[in-house]
Amino acid sequence: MNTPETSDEELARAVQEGDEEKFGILMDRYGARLFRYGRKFLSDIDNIDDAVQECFIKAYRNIQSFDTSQKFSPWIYRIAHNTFVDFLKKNSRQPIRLLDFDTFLSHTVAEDPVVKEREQKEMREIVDKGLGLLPPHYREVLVLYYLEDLDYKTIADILRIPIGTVGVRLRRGKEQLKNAYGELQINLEDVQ
Amino acid sequence: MTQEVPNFKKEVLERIKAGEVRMRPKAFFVTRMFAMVMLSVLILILSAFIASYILFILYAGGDTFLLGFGWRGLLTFLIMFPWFAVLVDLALLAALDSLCANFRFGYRFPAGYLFAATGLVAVLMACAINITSIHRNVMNQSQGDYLPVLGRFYDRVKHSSRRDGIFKGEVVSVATSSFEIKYEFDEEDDMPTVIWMPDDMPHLSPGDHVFVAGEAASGTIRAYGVRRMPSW
Repeated sequence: MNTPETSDEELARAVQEGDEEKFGILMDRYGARLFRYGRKFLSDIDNIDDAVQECFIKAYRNIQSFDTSQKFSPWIYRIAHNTFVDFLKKNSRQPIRLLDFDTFLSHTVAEDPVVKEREQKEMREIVDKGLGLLPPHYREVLVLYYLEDLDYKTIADILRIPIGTVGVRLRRGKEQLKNAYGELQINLEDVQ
Repeated sequence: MTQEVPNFKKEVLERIKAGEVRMRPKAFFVTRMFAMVMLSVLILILSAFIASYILFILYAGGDTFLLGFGWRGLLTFLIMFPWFAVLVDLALLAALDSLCANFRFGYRFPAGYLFAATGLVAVLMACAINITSIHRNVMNQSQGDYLPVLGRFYDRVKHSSRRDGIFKGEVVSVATSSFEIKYEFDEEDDMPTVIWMPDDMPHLSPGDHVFVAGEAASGTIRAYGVRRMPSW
């Protein structure tokens, strides 16, 4: 059933046409990814299983809104983002930013795949271990970029923010993370 | 990066099969999208209408003359400016932008640019609305009590605002450094008022409609600015 030639979009179309079993294949494909995303984004919340399960229930309920000519992955990550933000609002004591001035003006930030490749391993480990030190809006971008390996455009579509804002949050998130390590007097080389 | 994923697949699929979790029909999303587009268009039209109203009352009421009357005129202009209507319009534009943010063209733009762009579109539409005589017609209809509620919004165009030192009326007689006006729309004042303007009194003739900025003192008004009103 879970043949590599069947794309996510084809599976989603089959679900739209009533084939419920195909939704199970989509859950197999995205279960681990959404669970990892949730575990990192909701680092201070316990009931991540419930959050991820809620993502899939919402995805099934709203599958008819998915345009099969588009990529499936940003769509389901968008649902996950909304679900996780709701969980954060309900369970976290951290304030959620309502006004985000990073989205207000244009930022010229170019995505450089060479730089990403060079810092991927280093940043993965730094990000993985230090996410709890960051506010959610920086944490999420770092997770999606370094741990989920998504590009700026896809992250912009998931979070519904300008592409330049993705770059700005990444840069600020990295800076804040390094500063936080510095304040805690943790050597970055020890983290890696 | 291997991780233990909880096995909720079975539970979710069972709930789907049992009909506990149901797919929303496509018509729901199409209707929602249509409603959002319609709401956005309506908000844009309303915003443009309010912007055109602001421009109309500033021009037709003669408020823009105040900008040529020095710092006192500027101060009075700012005091009399329809700030509330501007705030309502800005709130509508913010609501429109938050609706646009549901679409790719909306969130791909920085919010500040989107706000400026929708504001510009609303102002251009407002200018287009003001090419028509819609506000003039509504204002004139309201004078005959056809539109009593809506008409109140146009009161300030023809009526004086004595508290702010603004007087509007028809010239009845002209002397060397003064003239008399009769208020047409302020019913409580039937007697002509003397406007004293020792310096730079413009050439006026009886029957002219004038906009006067000045201070009332000893039964007369010492004006610091006078202009002929635009025709209504």
